Amino acid sequence: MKIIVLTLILILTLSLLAADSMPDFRLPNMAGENVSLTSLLGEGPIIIDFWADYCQPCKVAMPYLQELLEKYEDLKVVLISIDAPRAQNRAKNYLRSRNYDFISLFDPERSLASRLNVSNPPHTFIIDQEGEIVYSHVGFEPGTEKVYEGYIRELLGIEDEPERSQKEHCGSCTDHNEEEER
Amino acid sequence: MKLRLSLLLALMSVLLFGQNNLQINGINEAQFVYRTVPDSLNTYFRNSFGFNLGYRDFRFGMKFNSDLPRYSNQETELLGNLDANRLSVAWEELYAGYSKDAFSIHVGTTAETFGQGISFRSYEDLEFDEDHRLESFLLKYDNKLSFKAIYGAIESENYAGRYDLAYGSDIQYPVMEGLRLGASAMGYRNLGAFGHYSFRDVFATRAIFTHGNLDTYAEFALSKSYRLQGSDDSDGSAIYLNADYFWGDLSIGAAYKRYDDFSFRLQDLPLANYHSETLSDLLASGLDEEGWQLRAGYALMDDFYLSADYAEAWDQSGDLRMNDLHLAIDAYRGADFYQLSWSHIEKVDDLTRTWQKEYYPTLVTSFAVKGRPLTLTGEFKTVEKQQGQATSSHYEPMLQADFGIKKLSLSLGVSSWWQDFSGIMDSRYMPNIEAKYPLFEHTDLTLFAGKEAGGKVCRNGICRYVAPFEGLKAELSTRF
Repeated sequence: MKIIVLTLILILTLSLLAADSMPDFRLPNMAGENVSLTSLLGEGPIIIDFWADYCQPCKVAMPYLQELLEKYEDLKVVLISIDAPRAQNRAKNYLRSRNYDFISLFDPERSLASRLNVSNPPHTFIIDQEGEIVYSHVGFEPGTEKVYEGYIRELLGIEDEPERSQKEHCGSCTDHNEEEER
Repeated sequence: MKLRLSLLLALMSVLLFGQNNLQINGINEAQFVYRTVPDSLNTYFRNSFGFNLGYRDFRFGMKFNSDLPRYSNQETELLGNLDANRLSVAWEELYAGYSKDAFSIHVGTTAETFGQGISFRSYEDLEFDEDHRLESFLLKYDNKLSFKAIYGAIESENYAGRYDLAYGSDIQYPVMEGLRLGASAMGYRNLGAFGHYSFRDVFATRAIFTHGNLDTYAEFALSKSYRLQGSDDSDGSAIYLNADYFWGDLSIGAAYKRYDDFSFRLQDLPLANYHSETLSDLLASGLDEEGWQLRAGYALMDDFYLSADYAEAWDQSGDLRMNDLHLAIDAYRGADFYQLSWSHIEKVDDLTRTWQKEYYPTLVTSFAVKGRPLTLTGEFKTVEKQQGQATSSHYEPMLQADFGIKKLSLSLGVSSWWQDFSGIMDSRYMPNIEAKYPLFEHTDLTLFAGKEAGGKVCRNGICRYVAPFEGLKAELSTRF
């Protein structure tokens, strides 16, 4: 028991000191070519969304993410599928047939997902252009995209619209399950 | 244990000095379960604490699980009395790794796949709550040339505390624009029922061609089993082909599979049908099956998407047969989403003279009511069975509503089992409610009460696999 308590204290202490940055990764895209986090950084905020083909809320979220992508030129949206290899075809077909402009990556072994403690999709991270995690959220209900937009505008240095300030007011986005402002 | 602790402390001390490059995150999930079904224990407590450390090119992670006692997914394994073996407190996941440029080394609990998982896959099966991950040493080089080598062990299914072995390597190389060729070689040593090791060697080759709107995948594998106890050596084979073509708003695809004596523990065979159904509910996949799949999709005016997927499979004698159909239409109207689908699965076994068919329409809608999102899900499954001359049928309806009130997320659901429509009032119903509330910035409280049949569930915007359950569950989840 002493060991466990000691370990816990050490980890919690370290977690206070540690940076909240996205771990570097190299994951294959649709064409099987590896894409690294480093290659994505430096141009603007990035939404990283872990999803699976069996996850209906993940699919509900996609049109909203596409809308954000079209609205903010410097934004990138990276979808990371955690489907098993045998279900990857379905995930690929789903994305390709809907003409989304996302960067689609695959993490069938959950190598990145497990490093970020992603277990139940959807799980979304917003990172700045340096790779720091500014927000993470588990689940998706319509309205959550307005919270995402609030952080993106902040990262892009765009002033709030009068009806916005979603983080404070959050009119219809009442249902977000987790809000981690770091 | 002392060595493990010393290593941990040393590692953390080093990391403290370089905390500018340190990444750490973790999760703690505490769950209290009260079951109302006959069970002498009724109450269970589980805590899972996991963390991951990243420092420059190193990474390290652990997960500590305590089950007091372990809650079984199987109704037949309900505890009559407290069983000391079911009390478990242990590190169940432990790994360390190093990555630099295209090289990486991973030691400890490992999830890995060669190709599509036909010749090798080490993984955690969340659907069936089974852990098929190796404790292994894995070396990877992943650049233009991709190379993997693994040597590992996994606890035997026949003897607690003894291990099966797996080792091998995989290579893949882009020989020309769009074409990648790969090959795998694996060796398995499995401990049999009488403490005797049997051997299986597997060799596989694959070709992946991606060009423009065309994606194709082909894999061919051979296996040889020997030193089997009580039977002769045997040869197995596997063929899996898949192709997809996208032509504007139209997409078409096809798959073919043929597996012969190619079933073992560390693999995950593509089943070439929409619902990932096996040829028979009583047999493992890969023993003897062949089948094909056709699918098509069409995007209509950006607001509608139509899809169709049909597959058939059979064994060599033709005694076992199955077919699988899925039709769906998705509609987007502004922020609203509607999906109507039809599923049909039919299985026949001439030897045991059994036949089973299930079909169900499903409707998923997500729209706003007075500015607040509401998601409704409905399913009506019909199951028909025949064994010999005896026939039976029943219905399994399900309805679920998800909505939110400020920060509180609520999901109300009910499912049932109807023998026929005249007995609706007397039938068994499984109502349930789940509430989720963010207690603090990084902490969620989830409460579940009621009955559920188990399987994959999507509630309050999150999908997860759950076991059949009746009672009360309270879960506190904290991320840091």
